[in-house]
Amino acid sequence: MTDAVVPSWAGVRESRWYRLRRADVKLVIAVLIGLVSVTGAVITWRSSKLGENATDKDRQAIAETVLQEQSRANVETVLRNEQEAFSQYKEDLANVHLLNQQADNLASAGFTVEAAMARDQANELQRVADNLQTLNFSIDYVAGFDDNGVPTTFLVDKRREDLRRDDDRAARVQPDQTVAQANTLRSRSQRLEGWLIALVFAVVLLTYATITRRDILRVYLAGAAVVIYIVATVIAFVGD
Amino acid sequence: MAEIEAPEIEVEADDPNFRRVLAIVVVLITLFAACLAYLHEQNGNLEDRAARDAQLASIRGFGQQVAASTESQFDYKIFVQQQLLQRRQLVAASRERTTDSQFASVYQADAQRYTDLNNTIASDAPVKTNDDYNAKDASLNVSPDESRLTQQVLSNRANDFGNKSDAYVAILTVLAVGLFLIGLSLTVSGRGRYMLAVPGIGIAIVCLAWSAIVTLGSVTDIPQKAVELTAQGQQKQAAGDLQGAIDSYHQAIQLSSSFGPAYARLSDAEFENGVSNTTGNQFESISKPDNLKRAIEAGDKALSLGESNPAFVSSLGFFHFAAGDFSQAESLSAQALQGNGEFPPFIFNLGVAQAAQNEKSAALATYKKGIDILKKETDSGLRQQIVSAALTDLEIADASTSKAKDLIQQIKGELVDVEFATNTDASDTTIDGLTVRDDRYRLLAEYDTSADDTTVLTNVWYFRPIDAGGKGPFVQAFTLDTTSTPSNGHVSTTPRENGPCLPGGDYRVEIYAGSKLVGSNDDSPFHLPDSGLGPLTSEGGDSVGITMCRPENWDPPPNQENGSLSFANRDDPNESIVSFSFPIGTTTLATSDLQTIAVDSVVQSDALTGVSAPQNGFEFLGRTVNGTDVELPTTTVTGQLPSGVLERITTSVGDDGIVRTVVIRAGNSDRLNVIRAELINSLRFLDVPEPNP
Repeated sequence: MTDAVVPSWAGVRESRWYRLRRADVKLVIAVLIGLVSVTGAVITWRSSKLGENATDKDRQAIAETVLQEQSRANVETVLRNEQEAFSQYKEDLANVHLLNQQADNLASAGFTVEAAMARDQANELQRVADNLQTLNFSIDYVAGFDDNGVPTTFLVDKRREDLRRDDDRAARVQPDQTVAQANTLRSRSQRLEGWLIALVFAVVLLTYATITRRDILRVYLAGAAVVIYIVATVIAFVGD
Repeated sequence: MAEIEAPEIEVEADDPNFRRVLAIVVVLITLFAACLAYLHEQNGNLEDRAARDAQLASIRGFGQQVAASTESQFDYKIFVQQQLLQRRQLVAASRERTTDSQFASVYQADAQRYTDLNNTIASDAPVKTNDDYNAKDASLNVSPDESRLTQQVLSNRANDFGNKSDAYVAILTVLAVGLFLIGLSLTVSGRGRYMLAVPGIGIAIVCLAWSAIVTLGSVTDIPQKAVELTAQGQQKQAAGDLQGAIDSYHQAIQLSSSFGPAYARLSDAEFENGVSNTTGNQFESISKPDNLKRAIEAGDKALSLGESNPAFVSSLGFFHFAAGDFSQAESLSAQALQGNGEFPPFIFNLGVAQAAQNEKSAALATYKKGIDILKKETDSGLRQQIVSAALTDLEIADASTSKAKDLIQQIKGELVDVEFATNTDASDTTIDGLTVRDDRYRLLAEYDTSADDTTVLTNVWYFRPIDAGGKGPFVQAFTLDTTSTPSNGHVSTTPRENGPCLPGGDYRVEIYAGSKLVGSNDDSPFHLPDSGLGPLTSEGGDSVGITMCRPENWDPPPNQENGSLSFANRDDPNESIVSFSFPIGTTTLATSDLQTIAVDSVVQSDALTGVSAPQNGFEFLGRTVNGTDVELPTTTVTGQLPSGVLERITTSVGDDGIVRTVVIRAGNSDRLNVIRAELINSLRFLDVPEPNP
């Protein structure tokens, strides 16, 4: 049995520069892969933070909408109560006028008792109407008086507008704007996630650069990966 | 000896290309996984966004509902106030006409004042009639309904995105298995490595195809216009415009054929559009076959699109039952109960499907459960309607199958016993000589019985419309139902009405002693022909103080006077009816004299000639606040107008000081008699005093 055949390297010596250059490129590529991975992790973390912020904004928008709708319900209830009181007020005032007129006619026709009763009723109604108005709505929202001084219109839209404005808490919130902010945050998070694909593509190129036998191709691939990495990272962070 | 350093040449014991290729495959799979992660994130974001928007829509819908309700209440209060003023004006005007001339001017001024007051608040009142109110209420509910539908659409969209997002996670997990196999292949030499690497790559390819399918899969995307049209359809349906509602739903479906709520509502509207129910029950059971078919088609489509509301599913189950598909009916009804198992109509829908298939123990158990829950219902009106609908459903089952008659009758008896709770235990009770007849748009049953005078018997009525041609199932008419106590072995039930206008058709009564059926005119139902004046529709109400039936081709005058009902035949202007009531002023005259005076005043104002002698009778029927019918004494004369048209005046003056008058006209005496028989008999003067004991 003979000894195993062992290749002989006698006389063969690779130059140090060549060895260093070969080793350094691979080392650089390995470092680049690590760098790209770390950058990807940072982007993922940042995207996740943006997503959390978007969720917070979503919750805020819902809370604001609840507040706004509570205010709206309150405004509508107050408004309709006032409108109802106004309608009664208007009817009472019209009745006052008509009863006084009726009293005059009755008195002139000789129905003095009936005339007095009608006038008493008119006076009572006047007091009721005045109290109704004082307790329920402001005369500022009454417009359009007829010939007898009876108001004809309750300014519903103006009153609604004022009630809404007076509700400070609801007036301060803008759920639509909060929703827009949440959407923007979510878009940014999404965009960052998109650049991760570019980074993984850079890793693909670097991996191929590592295993290729052609040195020149290795350099080009690594260069392209670096370019992609830089562009993606800059756009991901700066463009954000 | 110089140190020899071995060059860094990769010694690849195996195929070097294998590892290279595998490395490339791994990084490509990683790239694919990154894309999947991106898609997962994207769909997760879209899900979050849709879920948030759905919540916002539901909150806004609630706010809109509150606003709509407050506005509706305001409108209704003003409407009621107007009605009140109209009544006051009517009373004052009536007093003016009937009081001493000295005080007439006082009442005239009062009447004018109420008219002016009414006009004053008229500008605040967008609704003038009950129909106006219903229409306004329906329109106010459009926005909240739109929000509810939008919420549903967005929730479905959120679900779709959520499903996609979850699918990407599943693909990533499977992909990890592929990567594991590929990685494992590097540890094996020889051909064995291919046994691991190839399946790994295969899994990656499958994942690629899977992700393509998921990505291309559609998500809910309903145009807002379709939502609006569906909400408008609901508005029309609520206002009674069923055909308009159906058209709106079809338009919505044209815009989006995957909008489940539009199909579900279309199904309901189609069924309702085919109902000719005159029993006043909100739970309708019998629709025309074509409508039923269309309702099932639309409902099945809605179901396939994911509609799962228990009310809808239960209704669809019932539609299938009505069409004779008992198995599908049972399946759907059971499904509905999973969503809401505490609403008796849903439970009875399942029970009747089981009964129709003669699943005795299951059906009895289901009905027992429904009855137990129904007993807790405190609204007696609602309970009555639910039992009535359940009885009608059992009628349908009875008409559809012959194998479960005993079971169906047993259940009917239990339902009747629950509703009337007569506590009658008279299993040996018999009845004989059952006859049914009509009286003034009312029905009554008479029979002899072996039951003693303390036994309470229950008379349960069923009705089949005349257009059914004497075929098909009856509808349970709960407004006719009564309990009776025999008197000397004989029962004559209190006459009852089948809704405002007694419709022509077949009437059947079942007599129960407790839960036992002791008699019925099942073999020969009482047939009531339709009115000689054509189809009738009900008119009037509390606001007028009168209810009556009018022929559909008779129109009211442009300005109906307050407190009166007037109609004229549009095909023959000579034919008309005017009915009115008003309080009489202070007087010392007897009511019989007042009746004659009231008749004379009309005779004079209409310049009648050939006036007949006054005839006294009891032509009018009044109804007390408690719902008791009272026959009112009347005086009637007939004469001829200058135009030759015949006029018949009937007046009654009650103990309550109210004058009630009806004037009918026709070209000849035959028609006058028909109008009298059909229309005066249908009149009810409301709020008459309780009869003296």
